[in-house]
Amino acid sequence: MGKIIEYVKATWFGFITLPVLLVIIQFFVRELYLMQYGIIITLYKGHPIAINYIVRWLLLIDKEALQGSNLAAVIITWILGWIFVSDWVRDKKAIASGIFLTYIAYILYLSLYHGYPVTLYFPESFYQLIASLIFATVATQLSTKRRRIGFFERLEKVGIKVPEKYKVSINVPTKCPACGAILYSNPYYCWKCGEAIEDKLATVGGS
Amino acid sequence: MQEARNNDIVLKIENLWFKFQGSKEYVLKNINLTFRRGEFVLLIGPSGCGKTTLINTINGIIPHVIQGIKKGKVYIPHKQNEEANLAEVSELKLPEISKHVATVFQDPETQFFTLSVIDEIVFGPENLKLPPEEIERRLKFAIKATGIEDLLEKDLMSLSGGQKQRVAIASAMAMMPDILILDEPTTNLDPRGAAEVLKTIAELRKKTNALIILIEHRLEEVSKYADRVLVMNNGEIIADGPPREVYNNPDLLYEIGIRPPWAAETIVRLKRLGLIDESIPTPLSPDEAADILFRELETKANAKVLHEAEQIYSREEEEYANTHTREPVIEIKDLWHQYPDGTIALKGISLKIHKGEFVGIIGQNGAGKTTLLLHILGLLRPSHGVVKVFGRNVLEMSVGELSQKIGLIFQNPDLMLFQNTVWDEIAFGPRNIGLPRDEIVQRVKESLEMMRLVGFEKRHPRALSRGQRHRVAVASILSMRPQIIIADEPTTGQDFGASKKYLELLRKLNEAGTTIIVVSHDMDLIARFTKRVIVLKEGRVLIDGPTRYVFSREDVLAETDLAPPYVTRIGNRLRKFGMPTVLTVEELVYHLANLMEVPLKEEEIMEVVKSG
Repeated sequence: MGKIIEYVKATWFGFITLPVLLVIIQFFVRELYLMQYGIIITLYKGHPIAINYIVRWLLLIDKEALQGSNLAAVIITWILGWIFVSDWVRDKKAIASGIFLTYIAYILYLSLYHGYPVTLYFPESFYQLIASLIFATVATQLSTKRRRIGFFERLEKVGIKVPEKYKVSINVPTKCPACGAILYSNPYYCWKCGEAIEDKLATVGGS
Repeated sequence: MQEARNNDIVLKIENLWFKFQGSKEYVLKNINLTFRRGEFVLLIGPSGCGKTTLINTINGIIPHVIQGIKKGKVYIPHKQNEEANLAEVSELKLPEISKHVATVFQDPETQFFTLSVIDEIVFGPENLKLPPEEIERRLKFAIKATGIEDLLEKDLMSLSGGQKQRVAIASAMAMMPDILILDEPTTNLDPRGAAEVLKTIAELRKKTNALIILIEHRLEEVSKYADRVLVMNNGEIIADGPPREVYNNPDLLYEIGIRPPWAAETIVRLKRLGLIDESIPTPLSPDEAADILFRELETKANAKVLHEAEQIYSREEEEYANTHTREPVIEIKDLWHQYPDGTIALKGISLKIHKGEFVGIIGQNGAGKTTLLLHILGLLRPSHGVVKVFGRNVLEMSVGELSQKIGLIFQNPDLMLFQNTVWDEIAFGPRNIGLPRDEIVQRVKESLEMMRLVGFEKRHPRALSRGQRHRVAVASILSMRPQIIIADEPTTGQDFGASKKYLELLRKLNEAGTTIIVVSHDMDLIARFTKRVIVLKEGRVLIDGPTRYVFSREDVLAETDLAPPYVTRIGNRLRKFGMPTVLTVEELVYHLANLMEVPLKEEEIMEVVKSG
């Protein structure tokens, strides 16, 4: 059940995130062009914003999407989208499959709601599918190397400061730094000499 | 003394017999007692001896709520035409009885009706339709008598167990009763809560003139307040007198399964061995006993024991080290746990428990004991860190796998019994994991034999005595052949005799190689049976080591409001004379005999100290 949820999460997240991301990125790309070349590139050429346009761009069905910076925006969208997905969904297979499933979902959306012929791929977007799968694999690999937010950071985010000495991992059995007695846990006090050893144990980090 | 204040008789019991409906045997047998105003009476006896039945005949629960066959009379105060008289309980209605008799039960929550402390205290007087000024006066009286000023602004549900019990006592006092009955008010509390309640009881002793009848197992703490001790067994009063007189016969108490106060017992044993003068009064508190012994030793002590103490310590250290050469069965590393409400219950615990260890885990409520156990059982997921059982992460093990490795015995054995016969109860686990029939039969027979339950196979588990039910519960765990047994508060609600038998059972299993982990507030039993003690404080390990060493560190234990058993505390006061840390009264008497230059052999001591 848990695995199925991961797949659903990956698909759903991709389906919703990518269009939003594309609009945001396109806005920045346009601004950049304005600054550098003084050329105005618009996404919708004055059309009202409609989801099917965005989806067609994402699938590279619309020829305009293949032009210059537009293509760059679409590629960046897919890459960033899947980096976000990989942060939220932990199952690597679900992340990789999510790209394909999102692609299918978009096609179904266009077919059922906008009358596009039902086909598994559009010739124009076939290369995009392959490319996005490669990007997703890279993103997944990047995600596994990224540091996950630890328990202590989560605590600190809500204002709980954990003393540094509590974070030190002690390997038991360890020895009392004062008398050498063997300790089978990380206590405040040594059972044999009665010394307060917590700070010293934290310094050595156990044996 | 209280009786000097007023000698009025407030309770009189004449030829009282009682048996429950459908029962063949009388639970109370010919009780004849008279109590005076201002007396503080301690009622003691083993579980099931009839203590609660007796108090129920006083507070009117018998015969008004619980019916049965009652013979004899129970007279309590009753005002008629403004004249104070005594009236028979069965002739009065419950509201009338409640004006004169108030009872505080084990679990305070069962008697709360409101949500705030003040509302709860005035609830009783309001129900008596008293005028507001009188309610106000009673509220002030109850607060003063119990010293709960600090709790008045709080919600009941936000209070700790000890605080709740203090509010329950205050509510009872607001009724300004002639008779206040406290039925084991500290049983469900941790040491800190119990200390709070006992302090309140001490206050009551000074500030009220009511007759107080207290049922309590913590004799060390309460005996010093008592004017009189009643000992009950099998429905009869077998001893009645001042505490020093009653405790002068510890054998009588041991015979019925009650452990006499360590202080009294130690001195009485020493008197019998001829080591202490007969004329010395039996002490009621550990401090009193330690003072007596200190005075005696100052003139008699030699340096012999010091050598013996060293031997004891080195022998136990060696045993401790040997146990830890075996394979670890539980490995916990950097364990943190945060509950969804934000409470951090465990804060980076790392520990190892090895095969064949007998470990006691102690700590106040909220120290993290239960959270730790739930992690070992795989029932909680660590927020950080790892818990391994037999080298495997518990989260990767199924419930079935874990149940074959770890057996958990609940505080209340009844929660574990749900089959119609003892045989089915014991066979339930092995059947559930799909063992073949022959294997199940073999395991059940083995468990029956080990728990001395042969002949009980067809009996209904619920129809057995508590001790037998405990044995069935353990047998149902043994049939799974676990290598680790965890007992959660195994002695709660049991008298000393039953607790000792149960722990002896666990000791036998431990000797056969099973790892035992006991979580308990009962320091006497932890001291007597476990080999290693882990003390938890606020989610961390405070101290962890061989039992004798841990209990020698009174200062460290005090950091979490814990204290070693009284016998250990008496011994620790005598360190100046070379007294090692003692864990049982036998050890204390043995070393004292040596110190007093009457070197007795262990067998000789054991002849006198029958309690073993």
